[in-house]
Parts: sequence; structure tokens; C-alpha cells
Amino acid sequence: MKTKLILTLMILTTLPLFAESAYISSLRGTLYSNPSLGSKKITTVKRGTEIQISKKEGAWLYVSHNSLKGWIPKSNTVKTMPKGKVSILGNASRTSRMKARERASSDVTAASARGFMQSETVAGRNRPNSESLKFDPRDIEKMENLVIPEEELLSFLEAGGLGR
Amino acid sequence: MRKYIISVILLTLLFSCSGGENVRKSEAKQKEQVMQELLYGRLLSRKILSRYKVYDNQEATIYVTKVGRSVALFAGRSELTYYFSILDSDSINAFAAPGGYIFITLGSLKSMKNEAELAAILSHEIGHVNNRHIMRQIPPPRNQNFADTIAAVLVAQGTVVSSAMNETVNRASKLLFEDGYKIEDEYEADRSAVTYLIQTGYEHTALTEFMKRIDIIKSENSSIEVYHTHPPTNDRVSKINEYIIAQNATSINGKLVEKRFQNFIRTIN
Repeated sequence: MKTKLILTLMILTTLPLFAESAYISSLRGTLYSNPSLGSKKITTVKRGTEIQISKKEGAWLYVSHNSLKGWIPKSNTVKTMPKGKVSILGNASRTSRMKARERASSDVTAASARGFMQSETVAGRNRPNSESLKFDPRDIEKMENLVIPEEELLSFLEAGGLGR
Repeated sequence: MRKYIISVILLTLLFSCSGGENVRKSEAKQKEQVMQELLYGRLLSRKILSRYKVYDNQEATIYVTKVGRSVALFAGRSELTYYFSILDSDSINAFAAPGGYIFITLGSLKSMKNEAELAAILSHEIGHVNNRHIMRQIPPPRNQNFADTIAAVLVAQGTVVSSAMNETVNRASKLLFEDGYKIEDEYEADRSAVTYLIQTGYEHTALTEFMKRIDIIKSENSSIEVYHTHPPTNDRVSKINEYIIAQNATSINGKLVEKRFQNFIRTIN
């Protein structure tokens, strides 16, 4: 009985070790033969693909995908399946820049409706002299509302001979 | 024995289910942390835009955003969108706020020779964001109810945040404009930049080429305001070269993308 209990605990405690995996978070993840960017490229793996981690060395992971093994920068991976963009205003689902541009004026209206003044001073009376400009909240709204579809970025990369 | 096997299977399933629950909790926590980071970045961006006027040229902003987001496609953190803005200033500088709010001055753009140099500076700033340098050095207050804070930001003129959060943002602003990042964080952002450039296909030496040119510009015209919170250029260049050698990447040749950049420069001159 005691042996079975120990055996059971051993099986259960080792389960997470077998399950250590990660997901590709960048557009493509390249597996290299060594933990260095100049080493031979073994294969590329698509974003969202699950990979199994065998060992870690500094900023690199030694991983396997299907039957292939190789090193990948840790920064190209994430522990849980990538779930898309997170947005503070919930506007990340817009899919075209045109749509965003068309909405620019209504966004400003919406911002005003939410209480943003068109030109407000950030820190009030106690602001340091160096913060001498009047902050316009539309400037940040414009940044956040500039949507560029991924296909357009891929074409941009292609035209520059990049991303290969 | 059969009972034993069934028990092990049931316990394994139980562990798996609790694992799934843990993943969901972990994902929810991660999303909350990203929201917190975005709010922090938004508030710090207001500080940046209280010092610099935005250069209002949509065509130019779209180009800079395309370069920055192209790099970001290869730079991990797929949960962030990365927002870019050009600051109407002759000074040579760039700033990043948590969550991916990135600013570059007109003076910086006009000092560049090609798109790889622009990608290099944006990559360095993306490196600060991805490595959460500000978040780690000046973390947001604990026990902050961010859902409430975000609601407050949205409904109350964008200025109502807790005094603790306000203090945090003020300290981050001081870091950006006066104290600078920790030296090790600057080096880490440089290493990240080189990695991103190589992975995107840009010429990685563009980063050190731009730094060296800025040193020359600075020595020829002392009135130009140049980033003063960074370590000396010689030290940065040596560290970057050490990294490139360690990465066995000296022979990797990337693209400069000069023609497209020259077309862009004509739109801002």
C-alpha cells in the first residue's frame, strides 16, 4: 500500500516536468542549431505553435517541435497561448486603418463625451515649469487609433526585402 | 491493481483539471497586468506630451508606425499593439512608456540616413518596453484597483488617478527626463535592439552607426539637445560589439532600406 502511494505521488509530481511547454509569440520563431543568432537556422515555426522546452540557457530555450529540436530566444516565446492584443479602450478589434481614420472625428467626440477636455493641463497648478505645454488628449487617441492591418505590415516588410 | 490504476487515472485527471483552472487564472492575471501597464504608459505619455508638441503629419506617422510595428512582429509580446508618435522638436531623442507608447523627435529622424537606423532606435525603445524597465524600476502601487482607476480615467477628465499612481508616474517622468534608466537596462535595450534588427532583417550595425553620427553632430553643434541620460557612446558601442561577437553575428548582413527612407524624409523636410 505504502509503495503504491509513493509511486502515485512520484507519477503525479513529475507530470508538470513533462508538460513544460511554451508558445511562439512573434510572427515566426526560428530554431537555431546553437544559442546564437548567427548559428544555423534549423526551421521556422508559426506564431501560436506549441513547443516543448527541454532546457534553458540564459536568454535562450532549447525546444522541440514535431521531430525537430533547436534553440530559440526566450523573447520569441510566451508561457500561455497568445490571445491577441490587449487594449485599454477595447478598440483593438478594429481591422482596418481606413475604419480608424473614418472614425477619427467620432473618437474625438466620444473622448469629449467621456469627459476629456479638448485641451487640458496635465498636472494642474503644481506642474513643473518644464511641463509647459497644454496636453491634448486627442494626441494619444490618435496614436491608439492608428490601426495598420498585419497584411499591410507584411507587404511593407516584403517591399523592403525584410522578414525573410 | 485495477483499483489502483483507476485511482491514478482519476487523480491525473483531477490534476489536469486544476492545471486548466490555473492556466485560466494565470491568463486573467496576465491580462490585468497588461491593462495596468497600458494605463501606466498612457499616463506617462501625457507627461511626455506636456513637454513636447506632436508633429502633426499623418503620412509620416504612418511610416514610422509601420517600421516600428514591423519590428514588433518579430519582437515577441504579441499582446501589445505599440503606438508611435513624432515629436516636433529639433532635439535628438526618443522615449518609451510602458505598454508600448513610443515617441521619437523630428530631430532624430532628420539625423538618420536609412530605415535601418530608424528601426534601430525604435527597436531600442521597444526593448525598454518588452523588458519592462520602467515597470521594474518604478513599479505601480500595490493594491491599486486598476479596473476602478481605468474607469476613473475614462470618465473624469483623464486626470483622476490615485495620489500613489500620480506619484509613480511623476517618478517615471523624472527617470525619463532627468535620471535615466539604469545603465544595465540601457545595455539590455541595446542587446534587444540588435536581436530585433537581425530577426526582422535590418542591418544591425545601423544602431552603432547612428550613435556614432550623433556624437559627431553633438561635437559640431553643442546647442543641439541630444539624449543625455544614456551611457557614453563608446561604452555602448563596445558592449553592443561584444554581444554581436557572442551571438556569432558579425557576418550577418541586413537591409538598410535607403530609398524608401529618403522618400519619407522628403515628407518631413
